[in-house]
Amino acid sequence: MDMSQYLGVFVEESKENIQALNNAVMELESNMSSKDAIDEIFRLMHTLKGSAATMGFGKMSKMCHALENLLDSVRSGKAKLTENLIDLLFMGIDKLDEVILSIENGGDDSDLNVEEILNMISNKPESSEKGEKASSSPSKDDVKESSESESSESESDVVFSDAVRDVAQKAMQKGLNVYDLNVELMKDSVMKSARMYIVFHKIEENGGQVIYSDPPVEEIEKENFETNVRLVTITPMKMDELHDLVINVSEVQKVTIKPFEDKKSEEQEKKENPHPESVQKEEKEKVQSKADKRRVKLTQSVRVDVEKLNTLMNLMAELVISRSRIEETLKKYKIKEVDESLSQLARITLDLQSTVMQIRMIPVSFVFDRFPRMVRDLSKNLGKKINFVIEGRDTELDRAVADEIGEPLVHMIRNSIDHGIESEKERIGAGKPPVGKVTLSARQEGDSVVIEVSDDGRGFNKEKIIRKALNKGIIQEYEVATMSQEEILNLTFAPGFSTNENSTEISGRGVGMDVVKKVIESLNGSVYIESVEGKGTNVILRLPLTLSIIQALLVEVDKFVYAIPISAIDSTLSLKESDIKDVEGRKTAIIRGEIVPVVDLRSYFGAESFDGQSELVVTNYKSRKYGFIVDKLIGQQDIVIKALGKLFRETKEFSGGAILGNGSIALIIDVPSLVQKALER
Amino acid sequence: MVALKQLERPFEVLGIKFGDHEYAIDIGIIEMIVEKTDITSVPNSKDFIKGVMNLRGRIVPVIKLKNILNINVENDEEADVIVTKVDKNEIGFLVDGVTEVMWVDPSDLNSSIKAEESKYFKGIIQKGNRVLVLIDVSKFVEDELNEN
Repeated sequence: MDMSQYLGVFVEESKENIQALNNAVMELESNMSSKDAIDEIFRLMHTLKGSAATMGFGKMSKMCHALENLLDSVRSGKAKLTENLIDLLFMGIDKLDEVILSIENGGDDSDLNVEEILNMISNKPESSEKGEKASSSPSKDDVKESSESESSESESDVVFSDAVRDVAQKAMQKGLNVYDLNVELMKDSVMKSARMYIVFHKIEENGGQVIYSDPPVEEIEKENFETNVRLVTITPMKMDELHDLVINVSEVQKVTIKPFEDKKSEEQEKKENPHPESVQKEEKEKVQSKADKRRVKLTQSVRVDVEKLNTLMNLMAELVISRSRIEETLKKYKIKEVDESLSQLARITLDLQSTVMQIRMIPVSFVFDRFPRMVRDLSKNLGKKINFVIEGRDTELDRAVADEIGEPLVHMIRNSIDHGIESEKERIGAGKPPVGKVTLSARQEGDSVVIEVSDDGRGFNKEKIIRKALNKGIIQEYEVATMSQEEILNLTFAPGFSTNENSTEISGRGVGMDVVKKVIESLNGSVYIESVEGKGTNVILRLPLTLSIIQALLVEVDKFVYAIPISAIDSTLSLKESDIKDVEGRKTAIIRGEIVPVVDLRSYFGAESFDGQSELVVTNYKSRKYGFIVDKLIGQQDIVIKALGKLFRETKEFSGGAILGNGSIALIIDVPSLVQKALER
Repeated sequence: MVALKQLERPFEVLGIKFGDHEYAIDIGIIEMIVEKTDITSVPNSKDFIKGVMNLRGRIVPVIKLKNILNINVENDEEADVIVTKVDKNEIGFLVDGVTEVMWVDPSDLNSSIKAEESKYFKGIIQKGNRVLVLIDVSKFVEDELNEN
């Protein structure tokens, strides 16, 4: 069977599983006795193993199997959960992650060194077990007992337990079929448990459920069986359908099916006391509800290729342009009859637009969820205790934005932990709590998403930054005196800047904040730093909710039309020449009692002559106001941002262009860059 | 001087005009030729950039080819835009006009003549009485796109 068409889904799903595995192991680490966490890891590892085997990645499957065994020895009490073991699990998960990455890039799992892990696994838990045998004895006995009862039950393979019969009966009452299945695998089957997993999976996929298995699932997972497996399954399928389904799984040699017979053994009836039955029932219900949950999830979401979404978005953009074009044409002729349908069209396109946009939105947890693991590793490596807090993980942003911010956030968090948070001793000396706190938070503010990484570490030392910048030749001596606090902090964004004397392995080598700035600005976002020495540092990213459609104010400057994003605008007002004052060679205006620097876009854009009549657009940038003088205000409109291309990479004043209803192009003003550039002059 | 790779097979070029002089561009990178329409100028961009134009809903930069080639023709008669595509990047070049598409035999091309005016002159094509200067537009595009 050609599996390549499922490769994409496999990779995507495996990634999710690995993410979930990371979370579960961390959960286990923080609460070593959590049985739920172990079960969850077990389940995830099992899924991963099954799908890897199905896709023919034998080594990967073997690896999962080994890790599964490792966990099993913990679950059954043969080994005690230790930090070493957790590390081993993490290492194994990392290896699996690497494999997935290589598969995603067109490779396979051949590089995976299973032996290495296997050796470590076979050495580690034993050695740790020896010392701690005594302490672990009570829980060990518990588990052993239950596993014994399980195996004794499976031996009596003709008679089913009450619970199985009960479930079977209820199913039959509901008109479902209950079959007694005997599956025989080929003698030379290499991955017996994987094959059986597929059998289970196929049955479940077709609405069925396996309520009994001999040997039990755990034994099948350990490949602790010959070639025969007996199953009792509830399914809506007919007998021959089920037969075809199972026999088509590769390496299945023979399948015999007969209807389930409700034979009650008196002997067993006597033996059974109500207690284990209820436990079993409970467990069954749990399994069922879990399966239900999975099914519900499946119907609720559809995996869509991002490319298709991009196409949809582009079409949407074309539609928005066409609509404004029609509107413009119709305005000329003032036809009353079309007014209503036109406004309806406007409403529909608006709804459609926001729906399409929402489809592209994903919660930031998509990016954030990998950081707890990273922080854990970092804090271990650096020997710093970190309390890592994530806030607002449900905040949504555009998929395209989310894809890009991972790397910058890695830099920021690493910086906080490596450079920001002090050693425990230092912290106590400074009267701070010994455990450092790093917070990663996200929230929506109007048209933007704000992401912050803050720490309660040592903060930036201004003198140190200045010294470093001088050494590196980023600034000159004479500039220092006039620099504001903000300007000094911004030096850390300069290429080749790194505040730590010895760059460590953790926080790169001189690459860092400048990369962050570059990426964020390429997304039309901005970065600020706030830092108080001794108190901590706060790095703030402000990102647009979406990349492609924005509301803008169209203005005219020197016969050309420009667009200013509404999100950046504070207000607009008509202006007389006398309202503008020259203060030390800079134009300023007083607006509602506030002195506002003003940029005359007409001269800034190189107009040769202009006169009196003008308008002032007041914009916000870093909570300060800046005024732009323009010839005329045209109106507000939805515009579709298109990139100007690499040739304009030095022209930072414009974040892109938009095609207007009449086919002409309006350049979109990037307020932060324009303010910076204009005031530098 | 760097030895230019000798072209061995006949190749097709588009003849273009600046004033009375004729130039040639390899046809491989040319996507289309359009009449010059409204071009929106982009303030504070590079000197050789005329602006951007709307090409079927796409925003395409338009370059004053004259400025790159240092051709001193005192007129403003650019009438056509040659749209090229290199690595998915569409770039338009303003020219006074186009003449024709023609095949050039490698023996017609003399690439040993050194040109002072521009590093993008690739050689001289001799076609009977006509002399055309071959321009390496793709090199220019690559230089500009890869520059940091």
